[in-house]
Amino acid sequence: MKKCAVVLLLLVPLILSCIPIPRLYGLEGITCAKYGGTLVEAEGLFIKSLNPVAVYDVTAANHVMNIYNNLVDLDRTWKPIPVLASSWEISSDGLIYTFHLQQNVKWHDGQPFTAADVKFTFDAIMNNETNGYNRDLLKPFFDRVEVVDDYTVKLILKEANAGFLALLADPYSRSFVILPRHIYEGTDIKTNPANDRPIGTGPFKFVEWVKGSHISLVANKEYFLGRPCADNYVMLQTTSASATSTAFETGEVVYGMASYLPLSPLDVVKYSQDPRFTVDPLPTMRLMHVAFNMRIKPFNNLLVRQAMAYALDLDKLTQMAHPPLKQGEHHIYFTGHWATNPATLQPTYDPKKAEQLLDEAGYPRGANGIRFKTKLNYDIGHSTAVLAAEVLKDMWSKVGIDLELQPLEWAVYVSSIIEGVKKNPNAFQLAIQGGAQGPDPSVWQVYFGTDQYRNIYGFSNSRVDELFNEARLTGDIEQRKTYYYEIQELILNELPRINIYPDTDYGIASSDWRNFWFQIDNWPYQDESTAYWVKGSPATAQLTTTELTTTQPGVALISAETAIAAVLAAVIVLAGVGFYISRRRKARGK
Amino acid sequence: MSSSYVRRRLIQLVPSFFLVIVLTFVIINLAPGDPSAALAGEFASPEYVVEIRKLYGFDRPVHERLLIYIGNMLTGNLGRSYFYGVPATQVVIERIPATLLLVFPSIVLSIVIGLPLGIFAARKRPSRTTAAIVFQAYILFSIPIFVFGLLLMIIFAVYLAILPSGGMISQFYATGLERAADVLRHLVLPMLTLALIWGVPQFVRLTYSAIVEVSKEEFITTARAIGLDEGAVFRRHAFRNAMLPVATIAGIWISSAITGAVFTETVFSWPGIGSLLFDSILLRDYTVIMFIFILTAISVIIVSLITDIIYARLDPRIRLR
Repeated sequence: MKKCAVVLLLLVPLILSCIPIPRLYGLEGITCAKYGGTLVEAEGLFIKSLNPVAVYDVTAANHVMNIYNNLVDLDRTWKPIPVLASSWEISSDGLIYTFHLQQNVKWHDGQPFTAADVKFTFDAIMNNETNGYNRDLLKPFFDRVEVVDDYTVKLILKEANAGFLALLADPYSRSFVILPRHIYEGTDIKTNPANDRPIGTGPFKFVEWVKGSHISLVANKEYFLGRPCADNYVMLQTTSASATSTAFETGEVVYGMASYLPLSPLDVVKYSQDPRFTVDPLPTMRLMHVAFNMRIKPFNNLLVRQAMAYALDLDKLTQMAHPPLKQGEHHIYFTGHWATNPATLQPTYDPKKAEQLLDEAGYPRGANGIRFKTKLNYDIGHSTAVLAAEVLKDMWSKVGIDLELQPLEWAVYVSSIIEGVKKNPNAFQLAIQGGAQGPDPSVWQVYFGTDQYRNIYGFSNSRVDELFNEARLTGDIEQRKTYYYEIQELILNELPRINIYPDTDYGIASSDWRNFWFQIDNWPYQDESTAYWVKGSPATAQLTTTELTTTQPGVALISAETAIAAVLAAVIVLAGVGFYISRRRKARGK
Repeated sequence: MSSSYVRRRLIQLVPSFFLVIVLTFVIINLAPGDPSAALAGEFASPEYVVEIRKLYGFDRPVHERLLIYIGNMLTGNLGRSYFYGVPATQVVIERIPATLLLVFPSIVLSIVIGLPLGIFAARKRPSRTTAAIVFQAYILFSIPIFVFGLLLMIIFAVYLAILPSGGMISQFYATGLERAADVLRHLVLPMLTLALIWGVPQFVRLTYSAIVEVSKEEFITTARAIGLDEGAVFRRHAFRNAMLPVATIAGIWISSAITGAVFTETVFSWPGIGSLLFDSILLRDYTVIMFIFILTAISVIIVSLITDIIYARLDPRIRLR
């Protein structure tokens, strides 16, 4: 029970830092219906580094997955499965993990992978030569690494931890991939140039990274779990909505996740109706909601909050703000989740009731038909929130509430609302926000615990705090359910927020490619190594790959030095011409 | 022109430069929004955001951070990119070639199209042709650069499908000439956008105005009076004298090409310092923003010095003291 609690506690920071689409790989080995093709993924997020051990970068985790490997990964039931470690034993006291490593695994430069690489990686982490995040996770219980032989290594703990293997998988930030000792030993890991030109053991080999443009990889034919189906993989950086959608239209891009791209929900609908594309819904754990600031009028009045909930036709709102998502019921937590209390349904659409409650609350309609004015803040970068804001304005106007829309950049939202409201109770009135609230409901405490980070509503209920704490300490699912059920009843009684829709991501892909993503417990995963091109060569046919003979990064068209030299040369030439002309003029003058 | 003038101008660079540093630093640091949240990203944990804040000193007051920045700068340390973790200079310099590749051909194209058009308009005045050319220049200049870029993208990349929609390459595994050809294909639309909206109208208007102004000078009347034909009047007198102010203004404008590049690179996902600047502002990556502004300031200051010197060399009426 205690071990489970520790596992849960350790997973919380992982979950809080998660991206919507972490990767799993090496599940049952790679099998391909077809081979060939270049898989081009469009992505609008910024990548800091391709070495997740050195630099904490959740966004890069998916790409890192293609190049590096962990010792273990998690299967579809969250059970650890072998990757670089082919098997392991755990001592009876839970302190010694003996890993037997895959043999004949090679780094992309041909050097053999051995236990020394594992020891090097974990020593570097514990010596704080890496990103610090991974060290902080291990520090409480990790002791040291011992190499037994080239293919056997012991990871020794100071205290037992049932979640240790899950931590080693770390599907969210990949902070525990194994680094090549022969590349990093004796160097500053954080600034080693190999962070931009990684050498791993993964299904794809690095070719080049042109910053701001793309990352290109080529299939690792010798990958120990079976070569990937595609010949090549490219991550194409794109921050322009028009360039992205044009690239999909022209076939330059094969696939992308809508939430990672500057596409609007209407683009998603367009692609879902186009036979050239497949669009797969991939639910996230972000529950979008309208937050009330319960510290100030009129939202300190429960009747007002309830009225505003009754005024919303959530099905229609979802249809307009987040097509093509369709919702059924609207619960206080995720509909269909094991922890969701089925009885805690939000108020259903009833505008007459809304008007009645607003009258009762002491906000009758004025001569101009308006009961009160208020302001709604939201992240301007969140495409569904932008649409939802317009729909909210319209729906609430029908019951006499005049809503002013005030979008904010994310950085401004954090400083002025999430953190601002801690210093200034009037920092906002209404806000649309989301944020990860699962898959484990323990993370929900950040939103409803008294004075917790995302509790911008000013909600405080000591019984709710108590229930959250008790639920974290027990591993018994049925017991936890009773706690979470009661939490939801208490939240529904006070209604500090109105859930509008669960943010759903959409994977958009060319119909010529298959097998990108799958789901486990409503959590989406993508896997580039198993995606295959329908026009590729059958598995039994002779395989050909487009492979460069070197893993050195591609040479830029013009190096920085050449460009600067060219500019200087041009300046000198111009100055020389000017000087020549003036001398000629002088000569003529004589 | 004396060498003491050059020396004096170079010394004047220093306070100008520091003024740019201070103003830029203050403006970008006073921009609303929490830089730690922007750098950490929307999906980061609150603990990580707090860690970033402490690590980069965002909890310190602006004036303290400015002094630290200037102190570091004097020792040659322009800071690390908060986002990438590597020196800011490295992040920016990596992206310079792409911008130069975009901007220089655009400038050449702007001159090749704009200059003759401006001359033609000036020589044909007053006529409908002149009015049409000048009017068109104003129209093009008024169109927002990103709107024009999108228009070109729709026409050539979507409807006609003869050019790529964005980015710098799509033949990711090509090398050598094939790679160069691929880059050049991708260069066409952004280069046309920058040239036609930002460059050509400027040159048309500059050249036209300069020739018109010079044509009013007495020495032009004298040249006609002594029997020179219009062609010779134009070639030997009007054109040469008109080119002096054109060269001066064009020089300064060229050095601030980054402004037009920001929009163009963002629309076309061209990986130069324009799009880097845009991204860095969203990320609140202050050190990178500062270095880009420093580079721009240096280029403007130096180019204006060079154009002043060249102008003085070319125009005997001017004595630089």
